[in-house]
Amino acid sequence: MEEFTKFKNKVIDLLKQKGLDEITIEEILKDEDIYLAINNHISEESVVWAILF
Amino acid sequence: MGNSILVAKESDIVEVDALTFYTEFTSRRHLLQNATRVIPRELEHYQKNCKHFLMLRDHSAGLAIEQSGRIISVFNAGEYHHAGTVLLTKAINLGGNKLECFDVEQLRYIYMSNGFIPVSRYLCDLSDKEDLYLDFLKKEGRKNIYILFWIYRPMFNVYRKEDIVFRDVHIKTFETEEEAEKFRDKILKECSSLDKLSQELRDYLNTIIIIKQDKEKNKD
Repeated sequence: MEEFTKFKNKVIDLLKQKGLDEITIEEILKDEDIYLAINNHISEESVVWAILF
Repeated sequence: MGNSILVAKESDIVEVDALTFYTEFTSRRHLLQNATRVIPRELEHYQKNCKHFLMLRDHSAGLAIEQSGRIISVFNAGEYHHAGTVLLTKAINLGGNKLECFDVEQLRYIYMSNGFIPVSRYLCDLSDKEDLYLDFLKKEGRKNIYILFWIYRPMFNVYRKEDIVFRDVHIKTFETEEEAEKFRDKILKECSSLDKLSQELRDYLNTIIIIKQDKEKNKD
């Protein structure tokens, strides 16, 4: 759980740095996608890239 | 007006014709990010083989769907965020069910998070290829790269996405692009219904995909 929270918070921070607001982030960032990334050793940066792509 | 952030929505997608898609895509190609230096097809290919061309209203992002269900030329060269996922979702609704990509982490994640499964691959030798994107890879010191062949989610319906772990090492590697494609298409055909899936292919898919709960159970 700690890993999940840390990962998700970093993704949120990176998305905010790109200019996305909290409401938009909540709409497009799904917990299942965070778990999928962690389970498959995908970096936070790649998750952000994919969300923004 | 300030610099507002644009987030793509389904209502931003329009269907265009082959010529519009080709012209707009090729004219924006220099704006593509490195990870998606996707190579445009010839106009003729789009005209002959594709049934749908989806773009954002401003034509800054798009993709094409072939008659076979293959999704090609996925690109985003504009200011809209989240366009890739929105376009892929629409493409899947229109019958898109397979695609290929270079094996780079960003692309792997966008396709796996949108319900695709990598089922075959081949090792592409970069030395005889001439392309901007490939030059970028060569500068990174890569001499070759896997091309991954994906199918859309026959098994995601029975498993929760958050439990899925892909095991790359077990993905079958073929000598040629054609062989990898043929194998992918065979799986896709059989996967149209899990009931029709042969035991051989079922076993194969179970080596590529493991479910986290099973993995943890196996540790005990």
